Parts: sequence; C-alpha cells; structure tokens
Amino acid sequence: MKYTKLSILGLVLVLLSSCADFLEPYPNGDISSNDLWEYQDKVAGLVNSCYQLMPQNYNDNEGAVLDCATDNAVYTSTTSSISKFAVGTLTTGQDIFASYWSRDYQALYLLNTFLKDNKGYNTRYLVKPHYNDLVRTRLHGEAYALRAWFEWDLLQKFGGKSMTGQMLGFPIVTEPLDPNSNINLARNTYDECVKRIIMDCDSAIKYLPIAHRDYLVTDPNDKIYAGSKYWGRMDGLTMLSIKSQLYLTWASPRFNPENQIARWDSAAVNAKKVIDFKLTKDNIAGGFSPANKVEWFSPIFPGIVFSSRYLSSSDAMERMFYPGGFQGDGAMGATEDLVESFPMKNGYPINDPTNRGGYDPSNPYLNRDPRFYSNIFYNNETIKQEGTTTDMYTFQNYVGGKDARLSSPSNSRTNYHIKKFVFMGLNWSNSTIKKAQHAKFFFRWAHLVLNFAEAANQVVGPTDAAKYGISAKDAISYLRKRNTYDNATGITTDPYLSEVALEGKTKFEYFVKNERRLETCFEGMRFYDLRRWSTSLTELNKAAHGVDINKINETTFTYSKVEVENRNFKSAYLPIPYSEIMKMSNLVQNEGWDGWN
Amino acid sequence: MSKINILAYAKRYGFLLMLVIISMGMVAQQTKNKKDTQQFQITVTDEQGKPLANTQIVVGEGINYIRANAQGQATVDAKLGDFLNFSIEGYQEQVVLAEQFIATKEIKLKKYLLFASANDVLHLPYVDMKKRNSTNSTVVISGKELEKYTGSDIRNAFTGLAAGMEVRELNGSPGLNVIERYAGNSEKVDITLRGRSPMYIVDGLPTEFTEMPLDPSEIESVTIIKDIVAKAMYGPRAADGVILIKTYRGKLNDRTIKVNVEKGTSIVDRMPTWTNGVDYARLNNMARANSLMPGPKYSDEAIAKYAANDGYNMYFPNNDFRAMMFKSTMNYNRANISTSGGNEGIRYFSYLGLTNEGDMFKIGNKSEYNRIVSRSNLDIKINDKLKMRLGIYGALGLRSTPAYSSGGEYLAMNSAIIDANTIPAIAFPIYANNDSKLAKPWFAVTSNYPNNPIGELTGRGFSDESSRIGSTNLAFDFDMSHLVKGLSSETYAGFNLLNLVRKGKALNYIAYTATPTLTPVNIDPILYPAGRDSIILTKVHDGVDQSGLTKLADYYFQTFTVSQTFKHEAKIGKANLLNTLSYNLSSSSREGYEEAQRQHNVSWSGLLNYDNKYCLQTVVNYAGTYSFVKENRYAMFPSIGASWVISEENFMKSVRFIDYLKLRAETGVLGYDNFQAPFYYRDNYSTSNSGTTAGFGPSTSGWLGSATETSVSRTLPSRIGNPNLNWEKRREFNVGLDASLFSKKLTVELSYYNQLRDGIISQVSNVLPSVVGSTTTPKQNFEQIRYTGLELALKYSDKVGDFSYSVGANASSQDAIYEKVDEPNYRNDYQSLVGKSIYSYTGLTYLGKYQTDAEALEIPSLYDAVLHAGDLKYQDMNNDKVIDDNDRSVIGNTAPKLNYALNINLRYKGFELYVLGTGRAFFDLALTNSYFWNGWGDGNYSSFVQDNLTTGQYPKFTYNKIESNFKSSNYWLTDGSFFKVQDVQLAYHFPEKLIQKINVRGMSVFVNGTNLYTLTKVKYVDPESINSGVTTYPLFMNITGGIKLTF
Repeated sequence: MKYTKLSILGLVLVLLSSCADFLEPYPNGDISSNDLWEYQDKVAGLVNSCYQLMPQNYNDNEGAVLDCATDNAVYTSTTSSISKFAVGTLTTGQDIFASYWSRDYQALYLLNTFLKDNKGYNTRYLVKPHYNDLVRTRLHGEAYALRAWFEWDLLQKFGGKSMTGQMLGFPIVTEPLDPNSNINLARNTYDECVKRIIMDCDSAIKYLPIAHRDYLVTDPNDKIYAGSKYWGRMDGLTMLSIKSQLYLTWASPRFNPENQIARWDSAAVNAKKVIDFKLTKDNIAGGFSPANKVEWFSPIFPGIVFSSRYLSSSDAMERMFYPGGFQGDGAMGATEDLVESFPMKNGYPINDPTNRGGYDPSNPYLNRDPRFYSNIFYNNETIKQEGTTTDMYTFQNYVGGKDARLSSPSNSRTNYHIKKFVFMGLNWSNSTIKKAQHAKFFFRWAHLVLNFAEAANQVVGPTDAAKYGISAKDAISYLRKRNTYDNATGITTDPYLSEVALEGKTKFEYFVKNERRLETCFEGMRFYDLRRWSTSLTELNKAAHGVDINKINETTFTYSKVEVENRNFKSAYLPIPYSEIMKMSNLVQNEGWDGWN
Repeated sequence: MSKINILAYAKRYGFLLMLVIISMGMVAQQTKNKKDTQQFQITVTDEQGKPLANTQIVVGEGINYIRANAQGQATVDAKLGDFLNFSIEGYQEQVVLAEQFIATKEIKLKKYLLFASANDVLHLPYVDMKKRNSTNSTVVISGKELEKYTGSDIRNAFTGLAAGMEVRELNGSPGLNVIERYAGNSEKVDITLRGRSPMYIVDGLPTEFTEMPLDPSEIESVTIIKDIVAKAMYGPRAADGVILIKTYRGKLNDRTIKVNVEKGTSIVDRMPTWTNGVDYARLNNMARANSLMPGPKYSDEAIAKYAANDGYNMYFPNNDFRAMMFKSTMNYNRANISTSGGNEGIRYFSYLGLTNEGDMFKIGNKSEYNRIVSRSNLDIKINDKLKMRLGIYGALGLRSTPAYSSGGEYLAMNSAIIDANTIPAIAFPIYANNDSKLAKPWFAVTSNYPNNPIGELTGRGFSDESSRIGSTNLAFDFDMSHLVKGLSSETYAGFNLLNLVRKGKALNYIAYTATPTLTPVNIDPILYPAGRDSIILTKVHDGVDQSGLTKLADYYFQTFTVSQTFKHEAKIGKANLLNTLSYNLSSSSREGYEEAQRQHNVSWSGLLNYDNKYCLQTVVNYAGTYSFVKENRYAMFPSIGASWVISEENFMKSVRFIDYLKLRAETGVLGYDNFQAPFYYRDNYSTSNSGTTAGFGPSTSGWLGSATETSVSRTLPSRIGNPNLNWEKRREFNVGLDASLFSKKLTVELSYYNQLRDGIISQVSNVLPSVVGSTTTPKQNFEQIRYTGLELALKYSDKVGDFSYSVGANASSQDAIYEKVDEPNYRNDYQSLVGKSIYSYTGLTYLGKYQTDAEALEIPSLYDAVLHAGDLKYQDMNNDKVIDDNDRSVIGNTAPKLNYALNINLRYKGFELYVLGTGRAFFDLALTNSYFWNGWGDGNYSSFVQDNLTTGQYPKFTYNKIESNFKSSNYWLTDGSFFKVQDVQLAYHFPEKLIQKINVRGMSVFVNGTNLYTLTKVKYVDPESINSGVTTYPLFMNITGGIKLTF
C-alpha cells in the first residue's frame, strides 16, 4: 500500500519536474535579427535582395504599360487599370502603383538594416584583410547606391504637389523602423528628397569603383573580388546616371519654377561623365561604339550603363505585343501620334512645310526613318523570322483583316502593334521555339546622351561645344546616326539636324524632346517626361489616336486618323497609395486625388 | 434493389445477425436455470410509504426485469443470493440481496432533491457535480437523443439540442474525414457555441470530431459547457466552450446486450439547376445581341437541331451531363452491437459499430464510405483504495472514390460538380470518335472546356483512402482518505493516434477538341456543293496511364494528455466543501505543423455548497503555452460563480406554482492562445539563391571578361517577431436562472452572457504602414470583440392516461460587436466596423435600376467605363459624385439574430413519435456564388439567371460582364430565414410482456427521417449552405428504417 502511495506521488513529481522545459521550442534553423550578423553571406544577402526587388522586364505598369498613359500608346483592354487611370476612373482598389511604394520601402528596410551602425561594413566577410576590404567596401557602397536608386524611384513616382500646395517627395527613412512601434511619418519636401538622394549617390561613389571592369582592376589577383565579375551591380556610372536624371527632373519646368540653371548644368555635367567613360574607356575591342545598334537580348551589350539581371528564355514581350492572329495578346498598340512623330528617311519631319522628306499620306509607311521600322509593326508589313528568309507573318490591320482593331480583344486598338523588345527569332509555330533573354535597361548610353542634349541646350544652346566638350547637337547626332535595332543604317547625312540646331534653343528643345520620345518609347519614361515638361493638365489631356484602314486591293489602302481614347488626368502626379494615407494621418495626398484622401 | 445488393448486404451484416442469435441463446440459457429460485412479493414505496408505481427491478445481472404495478407491488422470482436493483427516476437507486426479502416485504427508496439525482450529474472537467449545485448554464444531452439522427457524421446529430449551439451542415458528402479540417478544405459541418468553435473532449482526451469518429450508440452523455467557471477548470483550450463526451461504462448488476440495425436511403434535397442546351443557345444569342455583337451565334435551324437532345451528334450535341454523372440517391446502412454489465470487481462496456454510406456518382469507379468503430471500457477495482478505468478505442475508415481531373482532392465531387454545372450542354459531344475499332473511345472537349466530364469520371482512375485510429485512456482513482479524510487522487493518461493514407492510380483518357467546319473545296464542287465536311481534331488528353499507385495524402495526427487531480471533500455542518487541484498537460502533433502544440496548466477549484441552497465556486487557472516568449508564457486567470436556490427560502414558499428556482451568476477572466504557430514572438530571416538574381557578371564571355558571380545569397525577413505577444484575455460575465414550475411540468432555463475577447492575436494588416518595409507583418494582440447573447430553453411534459407527451423549445440570440478592429482609418463613419457586428455584410447600397442612359452618367460608377439603362444604381454615400469602394457600408448581417429549435415527443402505449425542427431567422444571405453570379461570356447559365431574365429581376443581361452589377450590394441580399424539419422518428416499442417470452427485454422498430422539409423564401439553393450542389455535395434527406433489440 505504501508503495502505491509513494509511486503515485513519485509519478506526479516526475511529471511536474520534467515539464520545466516542456514549452521550450525544439531546435530549428531559424535566423533571428540578432543571429543574422553571425552569417556573412546572409548579411551580404540584405544587399543582394534589393536587386531582386527591381523590375526585370518591360511588361509591367512601370515599363511598357505606363506608356499607355501617354500619347505613345493605348492599352487594349478598356477595363484594365492603366486604361482606367488614363481616362480618370481609377478606383482606390485598383491602385497599380501602390506595390512600387511598398517594394521601395522593403528595399530601404533591408539597406537601412545593413547600414545601421555600419553593421554591414563591420561584418567580417573574408579571412584575408585585403580581400575582406574589397568585399565590404563594395557592399557598403552598393547599399548606399541601392538606397539612392529606390529613393529616386519613390521620388520620381510619388513626388509632386500635394493637396496643401507644397511640392513634396516621400517620407525619408534612413533607419530600420520598428514594426511594433507606432509609425506616422510625413512626406519630406521635394528638395529635401533630392538632397537626400544626391547624398546617397555621393556616399556610394566614395566606396564604389566607377565601373566593374576587369581592365580597371590594377592587381590581377584582386579579380576574384573585383572587376567584371560584378557587372550588373551598382557602380559609379550608375550613380552619375541617377544624378543626371534627378537633376534633369529637378531642373524641368514643373519642379523648377524659377528655372535655376545650375540644375540643368549638373544634369549635363553628370551625363557627360558617363558619355565620356563610354567613349574613352569602354571603347575597347568588342566594346562600346556609339554607332552600334542596341542589343536588347544581350546581357553584355556595351551600351548598358545599368540594367536588371536577365530573365532567361522569356516570351513575355512577344506575348504582350504580338496580335491575337499571331498567338499574342495584342495588349497594347502604338498611337498614330507616335507614328507621325517619326521623321522621313532623310531626317526631315513629315510635316515639313515644303515636304522635303516626301511624305505621302496615301502611303504613309514609305521611306520613313529606319527607326520607325524597328519599333512598330504596321499594316501590310510582312515580317521574317530572324536568321531566315521565309515570311513569318503579314499584318492585316485593315477592316476585315485578322489584326484589325476591335475585331478581337487581342488586337491593338490603334491598328499598330509594337516591335521594340520583340525577339524576332521567336515563332510559336516552330517545333522548337527559340526564346531570348530579356532584361530592363534602366540606364543606357542613349539616355545619358538625351539627358545631356536636353540640359546642355538649356545652359548653352544647341551648338556650343566649348563648355562641355561637345554640343547638344553633337550628342543628338550620335543617336540619329546610330544603327537601328534591326541593324539598319541610321540617318547618316542629316541636314535637318544642322538646320534645327541653328534655329535656336527653343526649336531645338522641341526637337530634343521628340528625339527623346522616339528613343525611349515603350520604356516607361515618357510618362514622367511629359509631366516634368508640362505645367498644366491640358498639355497631358489630349486624345490618343489610331488609324482606320480600308483595303482597296492587295497593295492599296486608305487611311484615316481616328480618336481611340480621350485622356482625362485630374492630376499630373501619381497618387500616394490610399491604404498608406489611411494608415498614416501625417501623409498628405498629391493634388487632384481628392477621392483618395 | 438488385439481387447483388441484397447479397452484399447479407454478407456485410450476416455476422451481426449471428451475434444476435448467439446472444439470445446465452440469455435463454441463463434463464432456463430456474432451480433454487423463490418467489418474493415486494412493495416499493417512498420514505413516506407512498407506493412507487413502475419502479424497475432488475434481478441478478439482468436475468429478469420486472416493473412494479400501480400499487408499487411486484412479484419477483430470484435466488437468495441474487442482487435486486430498484430504480426509478428521482429516487436513489438501491441494490439489495434477495434474501433480505424473506424478512421484510417492503423497500423504501430515498427521494432526491430536485436536480440532485443520479441523473442530474454534470460531468465537468475534473469535477462531477449535481446540477442543483452548479453555478453555470451547462446543458447535458443523453446519447439516446443523438441516436435519433441518421447519418454517419455525428456532428449533425447535435442540431437543435442545445440553446447557444449552432450546427450547420455545409455539404452532404459521405462519411467524415480529418482532411476536411486541415488541408484547406471547407468543413462539412460547422459547430459553433456562442459564436465560437468549441473544443471536444472524449473521456478526458481533447481531440476533434474528425480525429475520433463516434457512433451515437456508444455515447452515454454529452455535456455542453458554456460558462466561464467550468471552462476555467480545463484552462485556456476550453475558452471557446467544451463539448465533453462520455462513453458508456458498465453498470453494476445490470447486464445488457443491445443490437441496432438500420437501413435506408439518402435522397438529394435541393440541387440547383442550370439551363438545357436549347435555352443556353437562345440566351447566348440574346446576350450577344444586347452587347451589340454581330449576328446570332446560333441560328434557328441550329437551335432546332440542338433540340434533338443528342449528346453524340458531332455538330449539334446536347448533353445533360449531370443526369449522366450523378444519382439522386445513395445508400445508408448502420448496425451495431454493445454489451455492458459488471459486478463489484469489474465492469465492462464493449461496442462494435458499422456504418456504410454510398455515394452519388452514377458512373466511374466504385465510391462509398465504410467505417468500423470498436470501443471497450473497463472499470476494475484493484483493491479498496485503488480503481482503474481503461478505455480502448479503434476505428477504421475506408473511402473509395473515382478520381476526377488531376485527382488530388479528397472529394472528387468538388471538381466534378463544378464541371457539370459550368460546361454548357452544347459545348461538345460525348465522343470525338467512338469507332468500334478503337481500343479506347476518343472523348470530345473544347479549348475552353478541356475536361470531358464523362471521360473524367470513367477514365481518370480512382483513389482509396483508409484512416486508422487508435486511442486509449487510462485512469487510476486512488482513495487517500486514510491519509487525509476525504482526499482522493485521479491520475489520467490518454492518447489518440490517427493515420490517414490516400492512394490512387492516375489514369488518363483520350480526348480531342473537335471543331466541325465546312471547308470550301475546289476539287469537286459538284460533289460537295456546300463545301466538304471536315472535323479538325486536336489532341488534349493523351490517354497515357500512370504505371503504379501514387500516395496522394499521408496525414497523421497524434495527441497526448496527462492529468493529475487531487480532490478533497469535507462536510462542516450544513456546508459541503470540495477542493480540486488538477494539473493537465497536452501535446499534439499533426502533419504540416512545425512544432507540436503544447500547453499545460494547473487549476484549483473550490466548491462550497451550503445547505443545498447556496453555492460558490472559485477557480484559479495558472496556464502555460508554447506560443509566447518565455516571460509571457505563464499567466494566472481567476473566475468565480455563485448560485442561490431561492425557491428554498421561506418567502418563496407561498408562491405555489414554483417548485424550484435557482439564480446563478459567474464572472472571470480566462486566457486564450489558440495554439498560435510557434515563434511569432521572434524574427526569422530566410535565404534564397535561386531566381533571376542568381548571379552577376557577364553570363556570356565577350569584351567584359568571363568571371561570373554565381549563387548570390539573398536575405529577406520571412517573419517579423513581436516579443510582446501575450495571451488573449476573455473577460466573461454570465447570469441566469433555472426553474421548474407547475408541479415540475415546465422547466425553464434562461441565460445571458457577455464576453469580451480582449487582445485577439492576429496578423494586423491595416495598421502597419508600408514604409516599415516588412514583407510580412507581426502578430499583435490587437482586436477586441464583445460577444453577447441570450439563451432560453423550455420543456413541458405531462401525461394523460396512457398518453404522455413533452414539448421542448430552445432559442438563442447572439451577436458580436467589434470594439477595436484592424481596419484602415476610414474617412467616413459608415465605412468603419467599430461598434458594428462581426457578422456585418458590407457593400454598396442599391437604389434601383437606371431608367435612362443619361441617368447612368449623372453619378458614374468607376467599375465600368460607362453604364446604361438597366444597370444597377447605387447610392453615393460620401457625395463625391462617383460610385467606388468608398461607398461601401454595412448593409446586412450574415449571422441569424435568432436560432431556435422545437421538439415534440408523443407516446401512446407502444407508439412514440419524435419531431425535431430547427430554424434560423433574421439574417441576410448573400447570393453571390457562381450559381447567382454568372451570365456573361459563353459560360453556362443557371436557372436563376434564366428565370429572372423573364421577370426582369436579373441586371442588364450582356455578353460582356458589367462589373458594377456584380459588386456586393443589397441587390444580392435576401432574407435567409428558414425552418427545417430536422428529425422525425416514429417508433413502436413492443410490450415487455410479449417479448419477454422470447427472452428479449426490449424491442422497437422505427422509421426515421432527417432533413425532411425546409420552409424558406430562398429559392434554388439550400439556405443552410448555398454552395451545396453548386461547388460541392448537395445536402440530403435521409429515410431509414430499423430495429433495436435489448437483451
């Protein structure tokens, strides 16, 4: 009996005592924010993650689709958010820009975590101090550089005049915020944000090489931790490009009411540094030449200043741009307005008062600027698969043809389809389908040339080469002469360029803007260009046009310009995400978005 | 019924019949041995000498059953050594040796106080107490009540039995399955207690209905615990209420063998219908015309050809897929046998039950559900101090079903019914080619509808599922009164193990898209004037079968509970004091859960009962969970309750019609953590090195150089920790009264509760701004919800001659109001849910249809480019001259404001009729599922769309979907109230005297019906579950007949 008692009591005691650790978690591989600093690859991973947060292609609302909110293109589906944005009926639930806001802040959180108290810099990555320095200096520089990149993304997208009338940017965050605290930030002023980005760019330049090139590495042994191995990561050239773009925007009429010339000058100076590097350093064998075409599918295209990493074997752009009749979605179409802005083969505009280009309205696609043919698919064009001589597809945009507008939800609404970024080696009817690598080129040589031409023209006019070494006119001639994406020869003899340059700053400004439109079409840049150039909404609210085509016989068609979408922007700025406005009472909405406040 | 079915049935139940025969033989053998028996004349009376008619006298261990006559007299044949067991409702049971009746002819039974009899015991966690002494509103349901429900899922049997408990059947799939709860499937039956899902304890072991399937015939009682003090005794897991189930145990000196056999049919109750092929073509033409699209797609000639209803016609097929795929009935059978009995030393109860349910697939692989459940409960007295209680449970569940589509689902019906509903009847013929020379027929499909339902059901293979469950519970009761007077101990351990394996064979059928076209042919225009007939075939399904069986699911669940309880009872004058100290530890692991869910707690309960009039119970619970950071893991939660039997007071004695009146109240706090996934208190960073940023450097060599950086490690926070995460606090207040009136004919129970859930743990998404930069948000103790409700239960019983009857009713009303809610800082009060019900339905306010196109332009809806006359017009709540999401407000409530049930029990001589009806009233049903929201594009049209077009009720009917018309708004709300005749049972109990001759103690035959009739304004769908018959199994009506035998 005694034993029973004792054994029961004993059992109870054993149970109770064995339960002390009962609630402790089992061993597991979780990495907490404190453990993180013990793993050098995970510390580096904070920086590396930010590259993944960048867009990788043009098939989204900050790429080609954004051109559908400009006079360059029209989105096919009228119920798409971008169309609704363009016609002024976007609801808060359809905000296509909110994800960029949260993406940018996600990157800032990672970078601020890395940068805080120099924790990332003080992490030991390698045993040998010299190599360790190479790695940590680069990572530290990249963190600043990426911060500048994401901050610039925020400023470009969300910066604008607020409902209180102030020109505001975004809430600057330079420390990781505690998610368990009460957060209510206000937007910094536009100027504060500009200065913040410039500071981060300058910090990055201090730590980063001007470019990741093997030929710039002095000690060959260092090449394991330096040089072209890091192509695709942030470098000094990228920082100069951001600065150039930032100054250009800040100098533009919308953000520079007093027209401070110093801003234009900074834009030109920074752009010129990049141009010079490409012309003088990168012009090694097989490297950069200003006459070479843009190779959209080459990951080592020397015209790249900074691009995203490549998506291998993607057919996203082909799907998006080809019409339904060619197994595509015909998701968007180029406007007649854009087509008309392409000059003639000899460089004269189509509306030249004396028609020196020889434009024929009944045969509008004849003898046009070769760049037109490499950007846009038009009626009755027969395309060939790259590397073959057989016809692949003939566009039938006339009434009754299979690619005609409105005849199918996967035909463009303008009767033009888009060729830029399309890999012409792809044909879904082939037994083995060749797909190309695609990437998004954030900064190309051409962008810097355009930045320079626009800025230099404002400072010294079109032809002055004394101040910067080259003139705005010289810069533009690089682009007009260059081979097209199809590798056709550009406009080599260009009397019109010389003529317009002599007509002075204002005429040349208009001319540069048109060149910028042609060069950057469908890259998602014109949306911001139109806004920084304009000072009123009427300049933005113009109808977008397409063309109606009737077939007379196999070679003869009649064309009539037709309005496709009437633009109705109530604001020149993008909305601050409504969900964010409701979470932080200090956040002020941009003007024109009254329903979103 | 076919011959084969009868044979199968006979085979399946043959052994049960054998058992019946054997047991009858055994009983017969015992009773034959009548040597040494004597005859006793006994009169049974109460303490005052009043005869107690109808007292049951059991001789020996059930050798003979006798009832006393109206004068309380009985003639008993017994041996001198036999025990006689006297029992009658309301009196203490007495067991006496027969030899005592040589001296005396009378026995007096002691009367119980009201609600203090042996039948009024509440089984609360660790403590059994008399209902009279409790301070809570606990409901006890006897197993016999559950037996009246026919169906394999015992959860449905709870419908309407307790006020405050809501049971909703969501689909009528056969059997029950643990996967329904954990693999992202919707539950088959939804049980809530005061708006929350209660926990479920079987013989001390916390588990789930799906983890231990039970048959009603093995259940002795079900205790439904709703109030705070009783919940606090079990600890945080019980915070949402408890359904505490006790299975039968052997009774002293009462040997019983019971056999039940029941057979019947389940009939589809409501099956929402869709248009036939001809109507489909007409409606499609109409929609296209309304959208100003060119020409009718289907000509009158074509429609006339579709009207031939030929499913095999290549050009004009018209199929009724549902009629080909599904039956409207399925079988239902159940049978069980149990034995119980025992003596001082050992008592036993054993149970074996079989359930068989068919399925509603008409074609394809065999489909059915079978279950075998066995249970043995033993109570063994080891010595005077020590008793052992052992329960062993085992179950095997088998389910066979044809595979459909990829075949991964546990209910193939969910895919099959969606296809059957959404594929238009004229989409394609059954076969693209059914030439007899083909080894397998070629089924037809289209590019829009790549599944041929007939091909899928017959040609996709099958899946077989088996679940094996084993459970034991073992308790030692140790009387420690020799150490301290009144002290006893109970040590308990329970396990439940479940393993479910589903394996299947994935087959494929051959299918082609068939596009019949007339090709203009240049070869012979005379021979083919209209062009040559050609059908272009494109292969979609290749008919390649998988070579072997695949494991589709392997689910395990195991739980383990130990507890140690010390009880101390003391009596000081009129005061009875019961102190209980218990420790409980539980851990459960299941497939897909990173850590075993662990909790343990200690609770002390002090119960003071003074003079059976005043009661006070205090519980202090000290609980620990694995969910929080070390400092927050343990917390103390007190609660207290009091009751007062006011009818015992002198000032109440004059109120004649009140026999009994008790007032009760409880209040307290209880923690709740609901087994949060572990580690929400700490951050975690995850790493990846794949994807598009997998490397840097020139990936092809060229001018740059060739060194590349590969495998770039990327780090992202995958969990943001909140170290402050803590227990959710349940602050609860209950008050109520129990009464018995009019000579105990009417009983009343009334309860009110008010419970605040404070600091509900959730991933708050509308508070943390994106500038924080988290990819995910931390869990927080954020929301507050207050649950309140009123519950009333009434029962009136009486007897007139041979006719006895009872009428019962219960009703409850519950609501839950957000006091703090995770929502954006809305600009308008109407958008906020603070102060509004958690069952609120938000949407646009419907004003009518636009009369003119101009009217549609006045305040444009931003959901579409432009609207027209006939489209729905909504109210611009914020007067911003547009209709958008900011105009949404609370426009309805989705939970019934009133749940009620009525039950009637009539008995005349051997006949008994039982009717149970349940209802839900005052709530809105949102008709927004695919049955109501369809009608655009080339999709199928439901009968709802078709019928409402003619009445003009459906919004503007167009080919292109008008988004604005299909937004949640009160246009789509309807009154969901319904009343269902849930159970009806008509039974005939054979007279005892008649059947005693064949040595049977009780014999009843019965006819049972469930879900017989629904009274509602809701058309087409079942208001209890609007997705039933649309995306999942419909609900069934069951009709069965059976026999119950007791030996």
